[in-house]
Amino acid sequence: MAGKKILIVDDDKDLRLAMSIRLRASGYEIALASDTISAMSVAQKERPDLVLLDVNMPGGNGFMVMERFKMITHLAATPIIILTGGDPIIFKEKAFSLGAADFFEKPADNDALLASIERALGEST
Amino acid sequence: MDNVSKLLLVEDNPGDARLIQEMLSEVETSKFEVSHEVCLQDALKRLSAGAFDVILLDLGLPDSHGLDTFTSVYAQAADVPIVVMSGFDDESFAIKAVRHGAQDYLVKGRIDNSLLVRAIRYASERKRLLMELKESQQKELQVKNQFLSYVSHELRSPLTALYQFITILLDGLAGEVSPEQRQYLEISLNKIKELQNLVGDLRDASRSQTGKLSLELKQVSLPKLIDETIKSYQMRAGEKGISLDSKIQDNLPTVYVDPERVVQIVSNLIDNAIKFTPENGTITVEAKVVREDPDFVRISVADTGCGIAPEEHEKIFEYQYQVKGTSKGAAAGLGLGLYICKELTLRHGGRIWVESRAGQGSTFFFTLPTQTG
Repeated sequence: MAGKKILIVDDDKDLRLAMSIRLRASGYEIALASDTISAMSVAQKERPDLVLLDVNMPGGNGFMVMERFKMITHLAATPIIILTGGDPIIFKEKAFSLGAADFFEKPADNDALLASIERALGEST
Repeated sequence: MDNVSKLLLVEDNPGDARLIQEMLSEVETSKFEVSHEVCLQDALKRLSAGAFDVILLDLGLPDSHGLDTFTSVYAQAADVPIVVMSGFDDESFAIKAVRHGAQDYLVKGRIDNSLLVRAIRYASERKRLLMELKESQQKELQVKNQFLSYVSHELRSPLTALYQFITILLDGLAGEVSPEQRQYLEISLNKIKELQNLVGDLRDASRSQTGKLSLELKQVSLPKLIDETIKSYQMRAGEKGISLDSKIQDNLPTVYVDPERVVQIVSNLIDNAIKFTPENGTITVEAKVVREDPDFVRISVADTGCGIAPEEHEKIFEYQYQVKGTSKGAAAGLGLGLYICKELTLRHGGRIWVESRAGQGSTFFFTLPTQTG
C-alpha cells in the first residue's frame, strides 16, 4: 500500500534493520523506535499509519505503549500488530484484549505478516 | 524424637497388641500416642481420617493377609513410614513387604523394647531421606527444564535475524543474486530452518513438561492439510528416490483440532519415515475413519524402512529417547520429536501408537476427534 508509514518498535537493532528492508521493499515508509519511551515521542512526531510492536523489550513491556497510544487522540485508532518472542499464550490474550489488530510469534512468517499489515491498513482507511 | 509421635498400631491379636503398647509406653526417649485398630478396613478408615507419623502393621489380619495387607495400607499412606510385623511362619511376607516399600519388619516373639524403638526410629529416618531424595530429584528436573527453556529462548533471536537477512538476500532486496550465490544462500537457509525446528522442538518439549502447551482448536478439513504437508517433503523424499503419497478416504469428516499442530505431527512422522527408509522405498500417509472408532479420524504414516522392535514400541515416545544404532549420516536428533507428537495428540484427546517389526517397515497411527469434547 503506497505511501503508508509503519512504526517499528523493537529493541533488537538487527531485527529493526531487517524489517525496514522488507517493508520498504513493499512500498512502506518506515519509522523506528528502540524502547517504550522513545516509541511515544517518535509516534507523536511521525504519526504512523500502523505500528509493529515488540512486547518483550527490557525496561517495561510493550503493552504499556498500547495503553498510552489509546490516551492520545490521533494515535488511539492506529492499528497495532504485536510481535513477541516470549510466552505467546498469555501475551496473545492480553494483546487482543487491548485491541491489537493481530499477533505474531517471532520469527513471523514474512508473507503472513505483510498480509496482516495490508489487512489492518485496509480496514482503517 | 522429642515430641509426641502419632503411631497407628494395626494388630488383631489382643495379647500381641497389649505387649506392644506396654513396650511403647516404657520407652523413655520418645512419647507415642498410640491408636489401635484390629482389622484392615478400620485401619484404612483411620488413615483417611488423619495423619500418622508411623504405622506398625501386622500382616495377618482377619480381613487381609500377607503382602496384600501391606499394599493396601501403603496405597492409603504412601508418605508414612511403615514397619510390618509377622509371625515366625510368614517372615517371607515381611521381607516382600520391605521390597515393596515397607521400611522395616519385625518378627513377633523376637521383639523387645529396644528393638521396637530402634525399628521405629530407623523407619522414620529412612522414610524422611527417601522423601528428601524424591524432592531433590524433582527440583533437579525443574532446573533442567528451566534451562532448556532459556536455551531455546536465547537461540531464537539470533536465528530470527539470520533467517531475515538470508531471505532478504535471496529475495534480491540487497542487489541481484548470482546463481552460485543463490545456491549457497539456499543451503544456508535450509540449515537455519533445521536449527529453527530444533529450537521449536526444545520449546515445545519444555512447554509440554510444564503444562503450557497450548492449542487453538477449530473445525479443520484434513485432505488439503495433509496434501500440503506431503508436498513440502516431496523434494527430500525425492533425493532418496522415496515415493511419498497420500490415500485419503472419501468424505472424510472434519476434525476439531489445531491445524498448525496437526501439520507438526504429520511433518514429524514423515520426517522420521524419510530418515529411516532406505533409497527407493515408499511412504504412504492415510486418513480414514474406522468403524470401531467412529468419533475419530485415524491418520497413519507407513514406511518401508528398517522397522522398530516390539520392545521399543512404547519407549520411542518417551522424552529424550534417542534411537540406537542410526545409520551413518542420519542425525540422532534431540529425541523430542515423537514425544512432542505424543503430547500434542494426547492434548487433542487422541491416541498415538506404532505397528512395526524390525526389518519390516513401520506404520505410525494417531487419532484426532471429529468434534469437541
